[in-house]
Amino acid sequence: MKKFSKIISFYEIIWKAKLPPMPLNSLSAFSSFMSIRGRDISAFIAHCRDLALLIVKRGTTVTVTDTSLRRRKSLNLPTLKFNKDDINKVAVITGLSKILEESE
Amino acid sequence: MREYALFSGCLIYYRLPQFESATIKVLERFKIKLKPLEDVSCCPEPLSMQVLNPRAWYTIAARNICLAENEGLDLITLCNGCNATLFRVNEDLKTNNELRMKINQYLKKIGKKFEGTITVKSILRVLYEDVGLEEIKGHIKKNAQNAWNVKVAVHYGCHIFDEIKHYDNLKNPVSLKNLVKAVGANVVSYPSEMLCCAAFARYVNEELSLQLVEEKLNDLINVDADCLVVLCPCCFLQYELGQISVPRKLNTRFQIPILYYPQLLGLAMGFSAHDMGLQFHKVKTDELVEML
Repeated sequence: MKKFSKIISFYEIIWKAKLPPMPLNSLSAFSSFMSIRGRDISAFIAHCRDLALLIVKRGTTVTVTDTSLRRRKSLNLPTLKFNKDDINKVAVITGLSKILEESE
Repeated sequence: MREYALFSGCLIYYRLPQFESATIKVLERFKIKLKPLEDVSCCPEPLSMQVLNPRAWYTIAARNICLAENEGLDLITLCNGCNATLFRVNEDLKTNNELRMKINQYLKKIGKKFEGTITVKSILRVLYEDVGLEEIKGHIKKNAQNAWNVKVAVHYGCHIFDEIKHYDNLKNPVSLKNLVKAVGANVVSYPSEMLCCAAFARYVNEELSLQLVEEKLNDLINVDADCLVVLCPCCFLQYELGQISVPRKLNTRFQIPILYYPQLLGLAMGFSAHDMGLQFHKVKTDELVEML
């Protein structure tokens, strides 16, 4: 079984058992809520993958638009560059890239 | 003047920079300077990476913390999600030697090393602990302190609860409520106060997500709240844009202003609505501002 499928199976078991995967923190707060009121775990994992892909590709989860940069300028806020090169390297060395590739 | 390394996070940086601007202005009055961190990345977002690959989650977050360590500054987060990631990773790497060694092996390949020399704090913690309620009360303009008859409901947001247990009661938190009271406003309680904003659920089941928004907004109407105060840009977008999406999908209409806490504080300190970036809000805040 590929790694990405293993991740889905792992969380499916947790969801079905209605057990939070970790001690009380943000992740378990969300998963507890989902186990009670939501069901579709594969859509959840797919969204996690989409977000992770964005982070690896751009260094940020948000699409940068001219409007957003103009708004920052109008508020006298500095324009900074988000790093994607290091994030790409981290994704490769930690094995995240492989999981993302398998999921596509 | 105390200084923090500022970690705005993707959402505030690109979509809600008015929160960053309002926070900088308010904290300056308390002699706290914020230095924007160069070369950051997404925190990374606490759910997606943690689910897919915890090693990548730890390493990317540790890289962001290293940037603050290089500046020799404690790090302030303006977003609950960023706090959930950076606070947890900082604590885990400081206390778990084996994990720190492993993550430092990855960091070495991008020329970084986690030292564990700084603290990560949310804007809530900085205002509640470092500034303090009495100092805040001293900066509130007099008419707000005495007669600001505004009813404020609060929403802490799930992701702040990992940090909050270090200075507040996890089951019955009072920090944000006390900060709201300190600006002279009245806090109203409501049944779904601790309900998740369900922003993440929107991508899984949009109708369920909007039902939960509707549930909270209905509760706010029932307790006659004039506005909802949040600490998180994700929760903000869920409740503000939710007021546009809910009528389309579920046939209910709402007009409840949503404010980021530093915006409410700034208004009470005498900053204009424009200074606090309220012109960018989709749900009009004019009536609320007139109450001051």
